[in-house]
Amino acid sequence: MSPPANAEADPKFTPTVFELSRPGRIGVRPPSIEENDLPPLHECLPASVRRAGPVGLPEVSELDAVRHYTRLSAKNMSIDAGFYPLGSCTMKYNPRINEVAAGLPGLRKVHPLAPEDEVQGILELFYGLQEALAAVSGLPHVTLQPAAGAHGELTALMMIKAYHEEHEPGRRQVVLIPDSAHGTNPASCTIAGFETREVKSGPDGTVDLEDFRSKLDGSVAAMMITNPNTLGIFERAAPQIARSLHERGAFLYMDGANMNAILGITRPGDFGVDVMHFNLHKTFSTPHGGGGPGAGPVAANDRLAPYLPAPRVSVSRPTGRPADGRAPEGPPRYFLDPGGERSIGKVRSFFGNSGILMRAAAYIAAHGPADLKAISEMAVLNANYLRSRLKGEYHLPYETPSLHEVVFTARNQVRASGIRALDIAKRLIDLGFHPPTIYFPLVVPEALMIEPTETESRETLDRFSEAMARIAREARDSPQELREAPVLQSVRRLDEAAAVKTPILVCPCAAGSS
Amino acid sequence: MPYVPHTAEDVREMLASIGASSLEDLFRSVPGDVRLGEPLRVPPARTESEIVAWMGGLAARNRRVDDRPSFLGAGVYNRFIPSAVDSLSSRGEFNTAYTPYQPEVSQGTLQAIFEYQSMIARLAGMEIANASMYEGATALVEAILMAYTVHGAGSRVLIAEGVHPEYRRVAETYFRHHPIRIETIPLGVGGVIDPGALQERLNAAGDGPADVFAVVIQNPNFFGCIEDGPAVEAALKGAAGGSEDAAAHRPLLIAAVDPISLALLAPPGSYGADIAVGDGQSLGNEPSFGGPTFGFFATRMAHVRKVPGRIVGETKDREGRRGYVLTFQTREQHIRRERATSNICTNQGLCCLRGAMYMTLLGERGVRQVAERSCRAAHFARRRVLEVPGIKAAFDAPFFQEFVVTLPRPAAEVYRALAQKGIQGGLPLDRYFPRRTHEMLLSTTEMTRLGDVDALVAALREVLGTQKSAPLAPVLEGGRR
Repeated sequence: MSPPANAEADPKFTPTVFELSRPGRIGVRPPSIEENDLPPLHECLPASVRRAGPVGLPEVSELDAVRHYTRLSAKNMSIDAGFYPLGSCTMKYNPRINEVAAGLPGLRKVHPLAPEDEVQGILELFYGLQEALAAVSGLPHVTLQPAAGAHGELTALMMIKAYHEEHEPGRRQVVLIPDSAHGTNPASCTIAGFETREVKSGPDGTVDLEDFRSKLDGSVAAMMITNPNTLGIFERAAPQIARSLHERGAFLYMDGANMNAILGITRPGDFGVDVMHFNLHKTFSTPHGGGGPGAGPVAANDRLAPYLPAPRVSVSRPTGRPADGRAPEGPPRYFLDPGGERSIGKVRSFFGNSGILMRAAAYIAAHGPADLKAISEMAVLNANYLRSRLKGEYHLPYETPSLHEVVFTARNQVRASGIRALDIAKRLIDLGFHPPTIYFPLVVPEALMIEPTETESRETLDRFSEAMARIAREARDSPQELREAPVLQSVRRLDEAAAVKTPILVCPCAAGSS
Repeated sequence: MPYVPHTAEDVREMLASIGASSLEDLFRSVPGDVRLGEPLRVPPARTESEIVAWMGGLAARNRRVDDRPSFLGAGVYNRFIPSAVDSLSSRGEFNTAYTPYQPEVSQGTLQAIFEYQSMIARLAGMEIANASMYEGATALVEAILMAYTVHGAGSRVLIAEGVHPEYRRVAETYFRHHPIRIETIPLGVGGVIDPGALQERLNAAGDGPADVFAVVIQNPNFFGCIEDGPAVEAALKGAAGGSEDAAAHRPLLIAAVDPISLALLAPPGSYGADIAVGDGQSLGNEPSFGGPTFGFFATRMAHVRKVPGRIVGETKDREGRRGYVLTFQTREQHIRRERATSNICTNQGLCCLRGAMYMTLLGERGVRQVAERSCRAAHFARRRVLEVPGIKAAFDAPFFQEFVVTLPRPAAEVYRALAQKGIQGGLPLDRYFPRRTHEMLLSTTEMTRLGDVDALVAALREVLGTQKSAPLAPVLEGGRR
């Protein structure tokens, strides 16, 4: 396939790496070994198992490759380059020390199947991380295995499933989910073999207790809440919800996506949560990487602890008898606890997304108890500051106090000139800001969900508020221009329908024909 | 407090602007009786230099794969990573962006993933690939779930014993309380599936082949051996019978593959696989104690609406410019919720980006050289190791870069003895197979030097030689396997 006709003239056009490819060109050469002493390939592999032709991988010089990816990178918005208030995603600054720490050769060059005595440093680090997450959640037992938030949800649901199947086989098939929940919650339920039953939000944006009670019966295995919820509102009734669930033999699960609001303020274990997941890539600053990798550790109370995936890191400390007055000798020994018979097993290969766990450990180490609490205080301060600044122009669907994020809507703009949340988002792009999350939570039409995080300065928040105010004015005065936005990026609005109608999912240039 | 810009004055003024009396006041919606009345029990804060010293100390207490001869593989490999991969992937524009929800400001990530999908599809010999999954084991689980939906009738999945034990354990976890039932195809004596035994399994129990919705092989398998893909495919066809109706209900073939090996070996698409999955650690990602890596997932275009995870597609903007978007999103959890094809929310963006960079920088020829050298080094090492008295080959099937040997002493003991001589041995197989006490899986890569093999052979001679003069009955007995 040849590039589009206008490509040559367009400075923002980036050919695909396949279009750059020229047969015979070499980038980086792999290590050479003493070729002559090795058996020839035809003695190693019979022809019948060999690939018939070339793969069709690109052939470019190292400089071509460096320029290609550097140019591509310039087409991304990122936290490093600007404000990224994507609600529910906690796009805070990703400290560089975390990258340096996880990049230490003694951490990144370690094999997961090396015996425990060869990896004591890593095990000690992860034991400390388990302890810290237990402290923050008030739930004492932690697995670091799940690879992402949705994976943590699924893990917790599998644990709940295993518990109920052991105690009341086949009886508890239903999981209650508020209508404001993340889409991953119901999707995880299906994979774990549960049916979902939706619970309505009340007029203040929190779970409607009456609706909750009407849906709670003996078939309910658990309820999944997010607290604060996706509207940024604290579920004040969480302790009562937990009590009702526990009385009926069901569990309370918490989606930890919004932990950035409550570090050191309250612990899920204290308001009745039995099991929860963390998003280390949100609360604990590991970079989002353009969509991953993350990590979704799960913390549980004593009752669900036996069902946690294995292995977890455990420690055996030398013991001394107090009577002889001597301190115990020798260092503590860390080991991978294989878990008991009730453990659900493994949810991914090897230990977990270790490199991400290392970054989170470095981040927590940079914060003492007071600093962790300050993260949430400043995150909530920033969200409320934006709330107070934007309230005049944008419709606030819930007057209930906000914590770390605030949900506005485009209702005023839709009514005045038909300008939608999508148009506002696209205009923000040209004003230099990544848009907030839009059209979520689903219970709020035309939602604009804004999460500034604690690492943004007042000046940045002011500039963002001014941009939002300007868009509100433009929606009144020149709505057509908003519908055209963005106009300053490498592409204009893209035709998503065409992408489905005529799918092109791989580069069409044939292998070897480039 | 680190990473927070606010001065005391900022806080005061912002509170005033909000109309709040104090920071405490902002949390008035959190009931007093669940408020934490004490500081969190975490260690005191460390400065940046203290973190470097502390984590540096911990790092020094781990044994590395790159500072001594190492033959440990089994799914995670010490491979060469071009310097440009680290330098390019650590650019904040890639590393500190999120999922490309807003395509106009995510064209960098989107185009890179589109190119990644293209490279994976070519490697696997399949039509399409998704934007990546967590890692190999969960990619396999998602493939089994997709096959279950695509097939629509069966409830049994046959998984070869040669599939990585970690993958099989993860599948067991996922399907414990699921209608899907897992059955194992035992390893044949040569180290690969015996097609006759497979045929027997297909016809066994239940409703026969119609009840089997998928067959899973790994190629090369966990023991390093290369499976006979065409023979497996023929067994599936044979079991389904000749009629058109039977062919429609034929079990899907899922192949878990090593991406580097595919530069040399026949790709899954060439022997009729419906889904190819695998782990991308070998493509530019560090061992890093097992993660993060990425899982790849490739299949046929016909299944696109059943594919789990993100998919990037090419389209045009309003002015006809080429651009890229997340596509077929109606499959996904944020739209379809409980009816989604998977609960997966994101991909392993940065890890698969590193994979694309790796394949670009090494290119067609470089990746093939990596594969060739890994393979030839393994054959060299096996020949040399088998010259050591008492060591036998466990299997005789063709192999790629790993092979199993049977030792005259328990393999875990030999591993420890080698470690004392500064060599990281191969994996003692009793870690996964309690009865395989004397077997060791040795792995080589393009990083293996001939001198490493010499050192291994010399150390094995010493370790096993001393053992001969100390007649320990249980050890000798164990050698009879």
